[in-house]
Amino acid sequence: MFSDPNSSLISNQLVQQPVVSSDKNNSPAIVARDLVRVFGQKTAVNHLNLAVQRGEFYGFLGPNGAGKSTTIKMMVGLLRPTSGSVWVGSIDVWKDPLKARSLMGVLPEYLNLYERLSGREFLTFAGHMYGVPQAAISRRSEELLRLLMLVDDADKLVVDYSVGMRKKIALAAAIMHNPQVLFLDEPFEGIDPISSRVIRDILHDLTQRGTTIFFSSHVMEVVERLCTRVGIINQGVLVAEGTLQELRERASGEDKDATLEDIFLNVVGAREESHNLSWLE
Amino acid sequence: MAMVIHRDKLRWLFWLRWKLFLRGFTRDRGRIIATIFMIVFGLPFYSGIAIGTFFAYRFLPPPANTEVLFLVLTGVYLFWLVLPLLEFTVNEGLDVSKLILFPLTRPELMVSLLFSTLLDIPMFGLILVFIAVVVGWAISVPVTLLTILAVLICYVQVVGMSQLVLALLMRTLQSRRFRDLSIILIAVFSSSCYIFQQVVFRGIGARNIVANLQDGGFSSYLQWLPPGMSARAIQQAVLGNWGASVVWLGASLVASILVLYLWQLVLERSLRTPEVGGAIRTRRHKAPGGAEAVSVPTSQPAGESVWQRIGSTQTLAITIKEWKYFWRDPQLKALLFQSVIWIGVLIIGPLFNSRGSSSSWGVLTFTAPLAVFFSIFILSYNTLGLERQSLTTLFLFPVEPRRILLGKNLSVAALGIVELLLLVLIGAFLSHAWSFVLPVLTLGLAGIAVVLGCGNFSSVFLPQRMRQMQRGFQATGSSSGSAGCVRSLMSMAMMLVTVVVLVPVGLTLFLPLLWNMQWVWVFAIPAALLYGILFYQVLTRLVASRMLARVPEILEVTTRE
Repeated sequence: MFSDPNSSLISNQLVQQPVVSSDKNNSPAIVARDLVRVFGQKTAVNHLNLAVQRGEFYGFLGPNGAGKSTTIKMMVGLLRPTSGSVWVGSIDVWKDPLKARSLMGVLPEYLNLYERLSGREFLTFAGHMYGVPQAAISRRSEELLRLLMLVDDADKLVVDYSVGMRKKIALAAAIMHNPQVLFLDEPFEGIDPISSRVIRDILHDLTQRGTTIFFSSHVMEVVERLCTRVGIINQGVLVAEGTLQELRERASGEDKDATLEDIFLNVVGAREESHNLSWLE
Repeated sequence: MAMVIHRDKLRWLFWLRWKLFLRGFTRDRGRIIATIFMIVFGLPFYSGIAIGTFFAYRFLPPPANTEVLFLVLTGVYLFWLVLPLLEFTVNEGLDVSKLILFPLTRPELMVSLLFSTLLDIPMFGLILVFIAVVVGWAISVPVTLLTILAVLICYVQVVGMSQLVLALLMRTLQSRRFRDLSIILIAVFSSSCYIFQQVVFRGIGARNIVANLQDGGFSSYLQWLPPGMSARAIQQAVLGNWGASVVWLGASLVASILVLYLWQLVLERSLRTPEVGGAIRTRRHKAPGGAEAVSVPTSQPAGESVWQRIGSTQTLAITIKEWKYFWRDPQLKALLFQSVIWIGVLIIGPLFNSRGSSSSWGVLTFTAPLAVFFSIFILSYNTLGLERQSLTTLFLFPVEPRRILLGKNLSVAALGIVELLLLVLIGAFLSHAWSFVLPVLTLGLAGIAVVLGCGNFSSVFLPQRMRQMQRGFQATGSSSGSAGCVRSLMSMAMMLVTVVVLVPVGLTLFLPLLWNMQWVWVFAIPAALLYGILFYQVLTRLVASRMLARVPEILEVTTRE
């Protein structure tokens, strides 16, 4: 029942175009309206509408190539949409990009960090770029390095970091200025369980303090545990959206105890098939 | 590992190497263009060496012709010792650690490496050089046969020795530090050929080389090296001393077997994990106590002056980051070294060409700004492209474009000013032309401002991708990398435009000199300085206002893989 992109899993309020309120305190933290991105013949993102409320931890799910990273790139101002608009904290990302960027922290899919700076230098640089005072940069850097267990490697060049260490230092840089909105593209990829736990705690803390997190991941268990609301994108279309409870309720015809993974697999149309290798029998 | 070679595996190893070899030329448009250039310039180069040495063997009087043979075989040998170090990342097949996942025997790995070595462009050059040896010494059938045998042994030595070096240094070759070092060394080596040529051939060596060729001075030493043994065997055969010839050939054969034995011994030892490391010394910051309120900046104040902008922490942080990158990033360091070498050439040129007369040093004073302009043009005309992938990170920060450009410009301007000061002061000191120092320095500053302004324009409107550099012959210090022909043409056009815009500054210096009216400088030089500053300001303001809107397009060009 979920494979149809127009299925009832998309909540009514999101089928309608999201409204950008003039009241900055009550308006959603992130609004995407009719977002479209076309690459040649392929429509990577197709009329995507969504709104993320302030303080929400929004999980953005989808199979490989569904359009998650493209959407995030358009939201943070790195990729121009073919059409449509994005607002972050009531600021139009494409009309006032500097102001929008000052509100957000971004952990992109491909970590294009300054590899020839040490971890500590990179944090200092990022702090200055966000306009954080020097004293606060020093204090926050040390705290982040300690929390993320990078103290021993803080003076190593980033080029010599492992994938997990790069993720952690990029995350540290993204939250250095205490952003209002945090975009995280696959933040747990390559992260060890201990660091993963620390990051989860940091993210949880941030949402408790009012930071909005827009989070894409393949790790269902993490999304299930952290996210207050989930959107599922498939072939560029937002095919399901709501809290986990809402998604389960809408799936009640099939299984009330369905996990997010079950819901996800149903929504993106992955059928139950035998996955045994014939030559292993 | 058992000493077994499976024919089927060998076939597939050869298939793999052949595929890698072909795709090395056709993987992308840049490679195809590089291949065409290689055919157009590389083939005549190798052919030229082969033909030149052939004529030397045939027509130089003895012992000069055999001395050339000694030099050629030893040169080839030494070149191939270094070749794997240069080619390691370019020739993917040389990294045998990728095959260790599969159940291959040691001989199979060795054969795979041989395939990779044979299917390599410089190997074709080597074969041409060896053919020239055989044809050049084919004075009779027995001598020809012995020469073929000697060349074959020499060939095995060369390949075996290069593989031995590769196996010995495998761990180091896979390290990031070596990759960095080799990029710098290659760029510096290719740029310093002029200085090398001046020093070796003009300064110290040319006459000695000719004398040694005529006196047989090289062979007495080179004969003790494995390729020298092969050369001596050929020479003795030509003289009819067959006994001595066979002895030298036998010695060469033993050396080859020893090399092959050592290679297979070392190969297994080298197949280990690469080193990871690279801590650098940086100042540790103590965490200050107490919390501080943090104000997250929004957009920058509208009426900000240049001085406020220069003094901003963002601008300074970018400048400091740039300097760190110039030192730590091998590609940028190579560019920096090339620009310093360019300055070195300017100093060395007069020293050799005019025996260091004071008039030639006076020329240095006047040409110094031109050298500096060229030097900073290299570092500034694609200043956003030089960021490569990390430009994405820079654009995610809420930094006003003018601050980004200014931060980058300051780092390059500082380098330019240091170069300018050094050159002008050295020139003035040696030519005693102190009266020209102030005018040339002032006009140099004006020119730097013009070049940086033009650089900002081309960086934003004509950005280029700077490819992540590799070692090997395809590695260059070019800041445009695989930008493609159209963009290369555009950068050349930009250079021409920069030269045209610089003309008023140059005329300010030279016209009064030409007409012997130096008093005009009192008005002209401040006017030129004003021109430079205004040009920079206007162009940078224009460019910065468009930069934010062009972020996706700039990223599309500069960060595409």
